[in-house]
Amino acid sequence: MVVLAFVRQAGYCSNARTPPEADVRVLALGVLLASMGCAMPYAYSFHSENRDARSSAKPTQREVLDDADVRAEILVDPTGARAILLDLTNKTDQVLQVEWAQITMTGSDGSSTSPRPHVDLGWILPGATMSARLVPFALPPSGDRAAGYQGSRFELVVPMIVRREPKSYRYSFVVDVRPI
Amino acid sequence: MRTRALFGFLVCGCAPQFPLPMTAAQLVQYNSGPALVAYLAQSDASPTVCDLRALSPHVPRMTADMRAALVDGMVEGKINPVLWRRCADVLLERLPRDEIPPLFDELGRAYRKILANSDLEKNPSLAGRLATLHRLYLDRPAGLDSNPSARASWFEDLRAALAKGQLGPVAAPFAQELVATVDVENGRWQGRTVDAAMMDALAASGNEMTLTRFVERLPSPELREQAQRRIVRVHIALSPFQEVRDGSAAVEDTVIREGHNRIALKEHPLLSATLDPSKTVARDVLVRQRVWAQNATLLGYAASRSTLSVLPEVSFRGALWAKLQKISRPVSVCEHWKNLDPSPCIAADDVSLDNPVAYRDSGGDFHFKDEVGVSEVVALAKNDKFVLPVRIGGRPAVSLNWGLSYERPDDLAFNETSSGRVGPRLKIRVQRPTATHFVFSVSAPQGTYAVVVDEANIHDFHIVSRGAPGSSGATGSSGSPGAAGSECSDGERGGDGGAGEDGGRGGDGGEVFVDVACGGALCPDTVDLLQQIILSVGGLGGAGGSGGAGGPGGPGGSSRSPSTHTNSYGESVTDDQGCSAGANGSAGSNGASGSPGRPGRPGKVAFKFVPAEGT
Repeated sequence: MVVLAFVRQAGYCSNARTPPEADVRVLALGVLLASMGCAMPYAYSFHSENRDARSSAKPTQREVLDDADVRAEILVDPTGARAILLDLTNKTDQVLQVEWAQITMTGSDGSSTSPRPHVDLGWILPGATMSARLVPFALPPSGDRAAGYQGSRFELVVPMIVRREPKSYRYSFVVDVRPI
Repeated sequence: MRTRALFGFLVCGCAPQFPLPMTAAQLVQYNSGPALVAYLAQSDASPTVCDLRALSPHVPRMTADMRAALVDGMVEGKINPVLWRRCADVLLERLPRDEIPPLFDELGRAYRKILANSDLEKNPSLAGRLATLHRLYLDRPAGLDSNPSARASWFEDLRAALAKGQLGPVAAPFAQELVATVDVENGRWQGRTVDAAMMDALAASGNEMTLTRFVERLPSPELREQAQRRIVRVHIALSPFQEVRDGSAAVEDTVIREGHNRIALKEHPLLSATLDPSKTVARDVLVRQRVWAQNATLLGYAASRSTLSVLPEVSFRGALWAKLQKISRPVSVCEHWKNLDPSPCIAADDVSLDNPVAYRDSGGDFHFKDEVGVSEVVALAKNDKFVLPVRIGGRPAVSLNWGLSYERPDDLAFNETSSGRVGPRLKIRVQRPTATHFVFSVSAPQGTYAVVVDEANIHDFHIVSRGAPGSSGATGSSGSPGAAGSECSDGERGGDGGAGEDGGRGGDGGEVFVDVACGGALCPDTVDLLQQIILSVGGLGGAGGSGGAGGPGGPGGSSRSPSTHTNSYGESVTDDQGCSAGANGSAGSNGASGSPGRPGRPGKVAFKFVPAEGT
């Protein structure tokens, strides 16, 4: 029972974090995983499809998307933080309001979620940057369902009021799924 | 209809299946939870079926069966969460107060089930459905909640699960937000008492998220109004309308009092209007007529999907933009009061649609009657398109034009049924209000029938006066049985059957008088066409009677045994040789069948040109 609880908390299979003090648990976990024929774990990376996007070199780095008004740095982490990490910089000379409660993430399979900042946020002052951790956004970490996301697409839509005009920023991503 | 669906449920032991598309009126007839789910699962379904006070067809009440089905329908992914939320919102607005706690109990049951599902941590769709339940609970109107006892124990469990770290990274934020919101209901936020200074600070940082929580969940109406004012101030600060920013105090009062900043069209007359195509719904309309019942169902279809569905609702908020005199920028239709939008706007009741089957609901959106009478079917045929002219303040503004087609109706066949009688006399008026539609109005002895036929289907459609079939000839008499033979002799032959009677003559087709109002079309071409589809047909001749069966032959006489005696010498002496039995007589011949009757003759079909209506 203890082992099962640990597996559930730590994630899935061999990429699970192993507390150093839990040698006995690790042993039990190994026995358990061997007996259950555990599914292959995968890592996701989301690469921007927007023109002029600066793609990250590593999966843990943010994609940078820029226009004259807004700079967005985005890291989608559906298995670790189970969140979208979004930094927005207001490049205008007026306050920029983000409709934080209206953000959506839509998959090419038609699924749509509305991740929200984990703390309430307001507008972004001219020249300022605001960091948001949009939760939840989770995908399967292992097995066939994870592998099935290879090549799929997602669109993050962030409605904003920029220079007093409503505008929807659409950030498109293609997913790369690799075994770890 | 309900019995049929229920029967299917009992027989197969699974969820009942319903014929689709299902209109709102049909849903009302089914009146069950599974039917509500089936309706809402359709493309373009309208949440007004959940509005217990709607003008349009809606569920008469929310039974326990419907409540459970509605919640499960969303949780199981059958109902689109956005549509579901709109249905739930209107239910919260319209349900009697004592029916609200059971609904929230049902929602709570589903919420807990998803929260305990380990798949939540890796399935974005499941997280999306949980978020839908979550937002409904957090955004609900003040004073509405589940039963207090159930709520208390549930929140206790939730706090314990959070404290023990039993929830995963996806589940935990939901639980944390729920718990934090309970604090707002007690007038506290992040450990501090909510007051005007806190709200001012939130407004100064443009934090609508927290202020919105306050509007929805603070305990007193006064505090909630204070939060509303701060949101309006944030919106005014962001407004692109100079006149809004210049008159901020008055605009704030107006928005708080009325929910929006409506423009008086008498002072600011309409200059021009446009529709934003990206926000305007576009569909094509199919009319499915039931010619004998003289009514029809309107259905919708779109190039982007393969199936027919119900007609969508039409909202002009953000889609219809009007330039008004002395207003600096184009304005649209006023948003829902919850949005606290200070932008100048056109009140929903200043917008109208000139279409015989369109009507506006209490929320300002337009709907279409999906079950209509024949007069509306005919009225729609006056245009090639399903035209939706939009008026603002009574003035023509813009027009939406959807495709319009009529499914091929059943033939209008008027058949005389009394043997040999002439077909019904028909008087038909044909109009062609547009090149693509034919409108037929048929006066027959049993009533008047109107039907619209698309040009594409006209060759497959018929109007017919048909004479009755002739009477069938009587069967001939049966032959008499032959007489039985006497002892040792044969039976006699049976009598022959009588001949069958000839069938009667079919009735002639009835007279048909056709008035043709060609409108813009070429009359000779139209008449050529009509001659192929408007027919008078004689009835079939009656079948000849069968010949009577020949009588059976008489049975042969019985046999006789030889007789002997023994004389005085002890010898056997034959007195009588006896005889064998007689043969049965042969059967009589069957009578000849009667001849079939002659068919009736076609009646007269006369065409006359008449002026089109209005010329």
